[in-house]
Amino acid sequence: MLNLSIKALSYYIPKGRMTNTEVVDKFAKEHYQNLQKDDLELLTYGCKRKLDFLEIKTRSYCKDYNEENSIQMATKVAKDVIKKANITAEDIDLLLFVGVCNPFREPSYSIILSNEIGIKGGNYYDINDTCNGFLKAMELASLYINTGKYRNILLVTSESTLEMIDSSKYRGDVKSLEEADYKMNLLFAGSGAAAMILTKDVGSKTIKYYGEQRDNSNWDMSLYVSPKITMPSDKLNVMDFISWADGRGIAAKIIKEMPGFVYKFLVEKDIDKDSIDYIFAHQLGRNITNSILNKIEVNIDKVFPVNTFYEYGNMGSANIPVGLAIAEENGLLNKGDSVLLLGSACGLTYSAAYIIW
Amino acid sequence: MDNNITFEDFKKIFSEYLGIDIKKLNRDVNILFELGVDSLSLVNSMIRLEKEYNVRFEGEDKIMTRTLGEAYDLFNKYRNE
Repeated sequence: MLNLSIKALSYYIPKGRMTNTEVVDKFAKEHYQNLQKDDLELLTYGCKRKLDFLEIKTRSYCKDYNEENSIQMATKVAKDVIKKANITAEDIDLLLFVGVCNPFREPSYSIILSNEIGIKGGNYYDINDTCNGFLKAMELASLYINTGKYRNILLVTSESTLEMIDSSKYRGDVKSLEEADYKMNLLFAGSGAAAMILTKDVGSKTIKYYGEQRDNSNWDMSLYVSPKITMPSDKLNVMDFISWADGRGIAAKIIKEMPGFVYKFLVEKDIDKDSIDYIFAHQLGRNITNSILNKIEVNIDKVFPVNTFYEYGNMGSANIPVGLAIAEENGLLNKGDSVLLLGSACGLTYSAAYIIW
Repeated sequence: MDNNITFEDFKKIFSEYLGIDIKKLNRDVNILFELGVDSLSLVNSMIRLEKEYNVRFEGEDKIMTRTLGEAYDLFNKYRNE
């Protein structure tokens, strides 16, 4: 049992919206120019239709990095959540930054962020569990809180993928149609930030359980690494693009393996799936979510009432906390509602968290 | 001119595109939910179908989660427009 309560939640979505056509054209201009004309036309057409079929309409992004950037989004959600919790920065015992799109190696993101929001004492560091970072941080927080070491833990994520790409001068290429499929995962990426303050359980917005399943044997199915880094992989000796993903393979594995993990989690925690009010899967698109729900024989009416993927895209570790925050803001969750959060992350990791609102 | 193709031909298309045993395909089957096909493979098949047969599905069709029979009916509707 995690025995935590969510004291406060906040989120921020940047103002920019990029359509499927705009993002494909951007990538075509920057990365696909080595292709023959016919292949280029087929690829851009195929990418746009692919995004249409996967039910993503736009993705959020930061239009002006002087006004909206990763740190500014993180600072905003951190300050907002502290205010909503009716505490001060000095009350924060631990700040964890959990974002995938973390541009800072030294100092750590959390050191910069803690300075921005006015944390003077306390502890702060980053964790990286890719898209599972936020859920994993809940488990980590419970270890600190339940041992009495800390009272108030602040989790923050800020995902600004295009900012990371635009800040790099490296421009890898797509050299053939065959490899294009493996270099299009960033077409889904959206931007957003979220923050959550966790305390010991006070009988409301209780995070009861967390569980995970990991398999590192397919670690190279999705990569977002320093350009030209040498990889210990049979598939890619030298990474010539900033990201690479076997999207089909990942989707196939999730659809095949995740239902078994979810069943096991529910049995271990003695949760009746028919009693769950909402299921909120990490946003990879409704098709994957509906496939999983179909396999675990849960009516798709239980799909969480907020779908961030359609308008904002895949916001990595921010998907789930943003969705929860939007649901709370719009009064979509009532006291006592049970929510099953399902995470999936490169590596591959499947995770679940169970909340009683 | 009737642009319809038969449902048997439609099944052969998907059997070929996705490498599925044609015996598993019928009007009521949902390829995504029931046959273990991943969504991106299905997407690639839909794109190929659109290109080869000069049709275009609309967003509100939610074609990815339709049964094969429903997809076939929509396909013929757009072929005849």
